[in-house]
Amino acid sequence: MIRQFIDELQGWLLKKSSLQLHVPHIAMYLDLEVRMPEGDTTQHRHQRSKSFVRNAYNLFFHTIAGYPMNDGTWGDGYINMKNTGGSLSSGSYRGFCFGVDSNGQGFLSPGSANDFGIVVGTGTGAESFDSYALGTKIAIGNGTGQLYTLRSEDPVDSYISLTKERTLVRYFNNNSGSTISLGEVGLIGRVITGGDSSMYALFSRDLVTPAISIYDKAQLKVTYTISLVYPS
Amino acid sequence: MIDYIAGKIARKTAHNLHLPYIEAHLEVEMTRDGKSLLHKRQRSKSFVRNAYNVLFSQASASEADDTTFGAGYVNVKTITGTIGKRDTPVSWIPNDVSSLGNGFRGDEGISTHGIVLGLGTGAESFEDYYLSGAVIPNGNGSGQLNYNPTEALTKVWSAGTRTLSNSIKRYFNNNSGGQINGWGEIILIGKVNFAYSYGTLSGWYYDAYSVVFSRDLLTSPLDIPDKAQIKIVYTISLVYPS
Repeated sequence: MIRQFIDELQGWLLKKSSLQLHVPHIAMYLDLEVRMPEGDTTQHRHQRSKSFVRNAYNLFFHTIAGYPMNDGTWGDGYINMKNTGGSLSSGSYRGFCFGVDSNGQGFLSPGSANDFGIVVGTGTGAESFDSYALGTKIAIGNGTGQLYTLRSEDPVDSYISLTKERTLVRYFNNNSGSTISLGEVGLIGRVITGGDSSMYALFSRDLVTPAISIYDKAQLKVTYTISLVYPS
Repeated sequence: MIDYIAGKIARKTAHNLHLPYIEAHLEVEMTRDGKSLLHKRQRSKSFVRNAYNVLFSQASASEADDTTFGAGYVNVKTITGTIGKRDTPVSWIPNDVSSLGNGFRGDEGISTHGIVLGLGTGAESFEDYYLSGAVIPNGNGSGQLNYNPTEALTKVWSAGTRTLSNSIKRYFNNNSGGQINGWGEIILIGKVNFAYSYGTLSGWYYDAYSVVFSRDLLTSPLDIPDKAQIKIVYTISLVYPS
């Protein structure tokens, strides 16, 4: 609780100072909710996501500074992206591409797929800025240890108090007959690479601490909200 | 002083919250016969709506398809005042963003791309999409400046501050034979584009949009003597978390 208060205080200071300096302020929140079929909420957590990974930062730098993502080395001072298989992007330019009016692009996954969009896992490894994949993705389906993974919901955009916001939601149903432990949540984008192909790149990985039990027949709702504060 | 403190707070809090902290600096230098007539380096507080919209579009994978330009809408306004929009996110054009003629790298003799100078003195506005006054045109005639090709981009990683920066530098020579009076403003123009929305998972629209990312007003208008050279450097940086 105190930690959350301090984070929000720092968030307020960051917003104010960014407005003073006329520089962009990007933020992200994660909301996790587990409901039983009768409507009972067994878990509800809302937290600031502090988990953008290097891929996301590199894309931000590429976008605002106009520098190509073509470095052959991964790490501090280099600009590129690493896909969820651990391979580096290549080529001389990159851009986050494709419309988001339909599933299958950007952060919006079709149903019964977990290559990209909001994805969930059982991994409990510590968060790392250099993460490029979840520890252990929860398989799709209705069998033991599996979650029925729905398509991403249509995104919702808003603009309030100088803040432009996009909300991404995805539902997961536990039809497996037993409890599944949620240990991590990730946001993976489908990104164009080199001009004519795409890659799956992790943008954020949040460790769920403590892990959340998704009981049999329960539904998990995951919401990521990405915002940018505009100056007045 | 206020900006200095705000910068310290922003850097520290962004670090603690694991959020990106972006800033820009502008360096202006004018020399003649090897003598420095002016040399200033300052924080640029002049990103305009276009820059924010491109960043938001890329950070959230949002389409830039609004027909209205203004608060709450995502699209770009070109240097001619038209709206650039499609039902896809907006990004850099489908070429090497570091090559001449792309990204922020205006080519030799081009005064519609990259760093561009003007004679206007209008107040800075977040809604700026071009110079407030007349452009100082390229050339060697009266009232003209020779626009050099933008220098190669310079990327620097500062391990101590965990800051990655990219510098965009351009030189301008006054070969006109006379003084150019009233230089008052600087803009940074990038070429952006949109990816295909539907169909195959590849491809771009091959139509570039020239859009201003930043406009800086000089403290007071300057006169550029004959044979003077101007150097402008925009340095855009992002602080990475540890």
